[in-house]
Amino acid sequence: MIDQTAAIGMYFDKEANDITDNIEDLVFKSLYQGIANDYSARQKHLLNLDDTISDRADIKDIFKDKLPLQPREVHYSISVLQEWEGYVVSISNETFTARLVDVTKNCTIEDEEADFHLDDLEDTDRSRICPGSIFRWIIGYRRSLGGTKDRISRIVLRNLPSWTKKELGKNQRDAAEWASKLNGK
Amino acid sequence: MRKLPPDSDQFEITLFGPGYGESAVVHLGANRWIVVDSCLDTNTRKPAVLEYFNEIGVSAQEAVRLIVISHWHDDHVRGLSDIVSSCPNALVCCSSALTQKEFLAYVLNYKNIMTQTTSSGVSEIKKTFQILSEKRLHRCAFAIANRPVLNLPAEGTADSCIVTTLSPSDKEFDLFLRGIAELIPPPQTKKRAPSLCPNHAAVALWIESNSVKILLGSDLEEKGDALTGWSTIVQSAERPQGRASIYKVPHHGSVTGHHNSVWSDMMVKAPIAVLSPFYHAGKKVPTEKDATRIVMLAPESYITTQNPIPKTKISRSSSVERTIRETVGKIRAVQPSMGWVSLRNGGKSRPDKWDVALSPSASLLSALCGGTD
Amino acid sequence: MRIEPENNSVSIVLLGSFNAAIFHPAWFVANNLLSKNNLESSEVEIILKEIAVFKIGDWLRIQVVPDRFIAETLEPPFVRLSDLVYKTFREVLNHTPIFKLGINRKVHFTVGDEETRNKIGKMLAPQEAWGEWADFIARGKDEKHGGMISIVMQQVGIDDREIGHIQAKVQPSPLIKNGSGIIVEVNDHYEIPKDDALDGAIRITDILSKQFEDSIRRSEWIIDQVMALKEKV
Repeated sequence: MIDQTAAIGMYFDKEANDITDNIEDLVFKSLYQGIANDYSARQKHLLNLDDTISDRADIKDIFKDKLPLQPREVHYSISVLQEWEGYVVSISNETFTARLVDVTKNCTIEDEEADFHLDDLEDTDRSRICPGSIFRWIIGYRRSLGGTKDRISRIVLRNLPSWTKKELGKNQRDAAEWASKLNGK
Repeated sequence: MRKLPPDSDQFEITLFGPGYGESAVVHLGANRWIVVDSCLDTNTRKPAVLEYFNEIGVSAQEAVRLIVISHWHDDHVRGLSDIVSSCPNALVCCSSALTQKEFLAYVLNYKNIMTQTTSSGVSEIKKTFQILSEKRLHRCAFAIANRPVLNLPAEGTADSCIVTTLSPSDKEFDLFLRGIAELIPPPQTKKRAPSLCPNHAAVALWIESNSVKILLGSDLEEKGDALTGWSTIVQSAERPQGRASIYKVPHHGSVTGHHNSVWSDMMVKAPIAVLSPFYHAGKKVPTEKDATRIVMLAPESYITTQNPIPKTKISRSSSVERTIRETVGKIRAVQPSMGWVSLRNGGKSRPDKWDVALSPSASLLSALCGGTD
Repeated sequence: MRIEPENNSVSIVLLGSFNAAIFHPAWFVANNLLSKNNLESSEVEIILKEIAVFKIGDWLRIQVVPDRFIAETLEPPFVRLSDLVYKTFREVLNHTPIFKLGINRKVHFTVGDEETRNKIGKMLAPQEAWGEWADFIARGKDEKHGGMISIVMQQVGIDDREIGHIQAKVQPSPLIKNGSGIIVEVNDHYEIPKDDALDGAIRITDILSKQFEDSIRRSEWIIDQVMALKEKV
């Protein structure tokens, strides 16, 4: 059904050399067909009308190499053994200290603390880390299709929403009202 | 843990910590209690104060007359909103700086940083003030220097008692609001609310009856400024006179909370001192030096826990443990198990005779002297 | 989950009204939704008025058509995907009409061999239920045989949402070649009334921020129920 939010699960059946159908896929295919029709019509408008380009493109002609729902060629899979959320308490030249909440155990209070190397961060994260920054730390296994298995540790800063001027302005107004209430005005 | 409540004419002070903060309860006689700040028992994750009241058969709802808030960051007041909710008849006292729009804007700015896990840093104080603004506007009192906030008459065998706030001073009020105003977040990715140091909203308390005087030092620090900290309190002509026999040492025994004149002018010689340690980013206070200094002034000093910071108690799979060792070396537990120190006097007949009960992890502070930090 | 998956993904699907042409990696970078490094490693498959598809390594693939936005990742921490979608539709495109949200968790895993997989299929969909046709299903030809190829279970009346459901689909996995693979996909579906779609971005992102991690946790628990069948056959 077009109104379902299940991710489309199309799998390219190499034996049949075609796209496995299910209801969602059929509907999606027709959507692409509509786009293809429209696309080729526009092409015709731009080109010579006497051109012998077919006036009905097929999906595969437009999207043949780019059909978005090709199964992804996945070379590996990551299984998470342990995940924490942390916030940065302090930063020194080479390290930062953070408090950690055990996400795997579904905890909500920071019970642990550790010192991390700044070098373990990706470059973009390293440039934006500051006290109070919130991140996730995962430990797990990365398994490749070839069968190799590596332990991994990854630290990723969360890209949380930013404060906006509108939000800060609203908070100022709400704070003034709240203060009046608390101070009995 | 004690199993029975104090007698009607007994004074009691029990200090809990560390537990994401510290908190204290004081019995003023006749089942009238005050609560100062809040911390969670690190084992049960419930407010230590409420667990204690449960244990000794005290109804928090009926017995608590005053709740003093002298911290506002989550690191120090976990469980505070539960305590305020559980004590609907209590007067709530805090620095009025915490009810100004600058601080409330700070709370609103940091309240929701969209993480499901870590707290925002101000969640507890926000919940607490929401309860106050929705339910009990008339039961708040603002702490300022030398203001009596609770005046209890004699009742049965219990003496009358006055609780006076000694801080914050006018200058501390200003400094706090200025500090908070500088924390208006820029338009960038949200992060956890920073804390302000020193804590200019700290509320030091003087508790006085006919026979007992207690000084609770909160987190008040000394910066050598005559208009802030302990300097302004000691020099004040309006402060309550007399000398306390019990001292809750400020700022976890750190030298930043020390002022010689407090000991010489406001305390009896060799009072009983109590404190709880604090651990942050791998460092702890009191240090061995702090402990030695305090013990010289008060040989009978107690600390709620002398446990060193343990390695994490949580055990994980060997693959995870190996990766932890390779990445960060080790993970530290943030707090050791919470401890407590409880002092009860001999009532009206023996007001200066204090019975001391300690949790298994608590000890004399002298145990920290002479070792390594 | 008791079996380590061979393939692991999480996707967030939004139904509403989208202008596909804007969803270029550069637009994401310009709006501080992705970093410049991400831009450098992005691969655009197609950007048209009606359709946009690009990916950044294996950590992100975005597909947009006029009525659907899909963000998918293969790489944990999965909350990173939720953060991106939240920021996109809360901070930047907060007037987008959106009225449905799907948080999807999909794993491919092996149960060891084809025989075990067949037994699991029969537990989920007993052939005997098909009466006389069961014999014909069981018969095979040229090493192929019939059986279950897909089963979907649905839960409704869930307390945490006004409208919505949870669906779990089980299928054989074509990605795992020795016939021992199973796919389990859980679709955690939330809706707001269509009349409310104008502030749908706000409402849907609120749901996303509150529910995402619990949803993933629950989905993994559901997937684990299927994985447990390996021990029961």
